[in-house]
Amino acid sequence: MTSAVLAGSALSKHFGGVLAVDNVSIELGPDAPVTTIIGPNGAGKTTLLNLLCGAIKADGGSVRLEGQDITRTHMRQRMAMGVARTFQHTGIFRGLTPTEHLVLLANRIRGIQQLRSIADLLETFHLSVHANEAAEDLNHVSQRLLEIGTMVSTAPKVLMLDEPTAGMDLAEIAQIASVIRQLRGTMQIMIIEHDIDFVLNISDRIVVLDQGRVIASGTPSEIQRDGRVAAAYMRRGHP
Amino acid sequence: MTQALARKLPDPRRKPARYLAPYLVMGAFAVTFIALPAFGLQRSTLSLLSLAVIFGIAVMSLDYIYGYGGMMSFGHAALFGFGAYIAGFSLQLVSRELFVGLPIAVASTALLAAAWGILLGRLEGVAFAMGTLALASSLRILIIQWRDVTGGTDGLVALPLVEVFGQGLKPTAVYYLSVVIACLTFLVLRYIVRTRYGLALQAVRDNPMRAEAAGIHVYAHRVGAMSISGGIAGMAGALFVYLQGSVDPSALGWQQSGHFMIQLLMGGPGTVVGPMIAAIAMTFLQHWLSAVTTHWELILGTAVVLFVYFTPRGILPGIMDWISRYRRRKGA
Ligand SMILES: Nc1ncnc2c1ncn2[C@@H]1O[C@H](COP(=O)(O)OP(=O)(O)OP(=O)(O)O)[C@@H](O)[C@H]1O
Ligand SMILES: [Mg+2]
Repeated sequence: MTSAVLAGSALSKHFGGVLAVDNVSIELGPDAPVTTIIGPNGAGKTTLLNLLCGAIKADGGSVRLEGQDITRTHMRQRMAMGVARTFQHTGIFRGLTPTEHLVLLANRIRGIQQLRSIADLLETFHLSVHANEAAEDLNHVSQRLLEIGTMVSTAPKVLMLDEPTAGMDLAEIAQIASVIRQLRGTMQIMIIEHDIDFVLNISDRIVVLDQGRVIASGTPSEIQRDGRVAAAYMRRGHP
Repeated sequence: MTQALARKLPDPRRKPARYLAPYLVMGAFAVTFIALPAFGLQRSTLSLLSLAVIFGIAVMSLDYIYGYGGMMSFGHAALFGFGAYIAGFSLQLVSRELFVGLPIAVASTALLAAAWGILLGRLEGVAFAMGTLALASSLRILIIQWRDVTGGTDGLVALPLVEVFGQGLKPTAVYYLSVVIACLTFLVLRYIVRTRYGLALQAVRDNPMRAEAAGIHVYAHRVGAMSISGGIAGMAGALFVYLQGSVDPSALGWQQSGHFMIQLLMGGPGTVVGPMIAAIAMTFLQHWLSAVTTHWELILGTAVVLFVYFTPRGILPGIMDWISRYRRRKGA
């Protein structure tokens, strides 16, 4: 038994001939409240997230939540147990307002306390002014924030974000970073990210994937000194 | 403390004007339609009004699964007709009491619709619509073939009047009953779609995959929505039988399903009241046009195309958008 909140061990997944995730073990625990996964395109980052949240079935390996084996559960059940995720492509409910998103999913907070929590959440995610607009009318950053906020409203134990800053400018990335810093410590956070400044700035631990394997793992400064990481990025010609 | 909190709160219950519009339209409908008989209508006009309101109820039930659930049904008339047949059977065989027959019709149709949902709930978009069409056709064929029980193509005829505590309901009473049920249906549906249960259905409509990821049981919500919608469609069917005293298989036809769908799209899915008003208006137009010209279908069809072109989201939402644009221009 470790103190990990969510732990995947020896996870593997192949698609046809491609070994997308190859014997990966990862622990998300309080020793590193914010863990980021980096790696070149096609490294298997999203596939690893999918295995951890139950969106796809692993070929081998197991997943534990607070020590309990959840390998055989699917995504909806894991969500109910406190494993929340966002997607690489923003997924909001077009016709619902931010308030309705939160009312819909804030299942652990009720009554007047719920109203207050919803107000706080809207504030935290910079959505107060848009509270009653249809989500489809919000701009890209607000939609991203809404997506994250909606997941946070379920009070998850683990929150996994797939490229939350994709397509954003510096000011917008800073906004996302500040929100994540506010959430840090209230839940275990895992982020897949390409923006290296953002990663170095936000992470307690960085895990580097390449061709389905973990090639390095450590604090931001350890990773910066690691030659293999730079090499993996060079070889693929990644930004 | 409370004050600071109150200032911060974007009260989810505070409704912007566009949430109010459907209630205003519905209020206007209720007042008008309750007042109308006082002007001494002819029997045939009253009967046409009743029919229009009854179709309006059926179209509201369709709005619930399409406007809020994203499930397009080309077989809704079959649920409507099924409710009508069940109400007819219970008049003949069980009891003439409204409070016995109506619940039987509602419950049976809700069950049938739930079964449809169980069969089709994992299909998306057009596949779902085709499924409803197929199920509706089979039901219609079954009713036509099973002549001994259903009367075949003649249907059920010369049914006794429905009664309330032993008193037969006259056409005027059926009319008022229909108007009241239309208002209740509107209020109940508008209430459901504000609850978390109804919001979940809208999440399923907008993004089934993400809804599932968010812990919402997509399939169960579809089955549940089908059953609620079916119950209401069956209730409309029962009123239809109470009004006409008869029902035949044309009530279940795909033409009727098509009319419901067109009325829904014209009125504005996701408003409940818009489609109801469209159903009423089109029932009347159809009646009048068919009296003056044999080309009424062409004229009505052209009007539908024009309306859908100029107000793609439906007439009521179109008017609401227009008003809010106008107000913004005035305000700015
Ligand atoms: N559903 C799938 N079917 C077939 N192959 C897939 C599938 N999902 C992923 N793959 C393959 O698995 C490998 C890993 O993909 P994955 O999406 O996990 O990479 P990633 O690290 O998230 O990349 P990116 O940075 O581009 O998002 C890739 O070669 C990809 O083509
Ligand atoms: Mg990816």
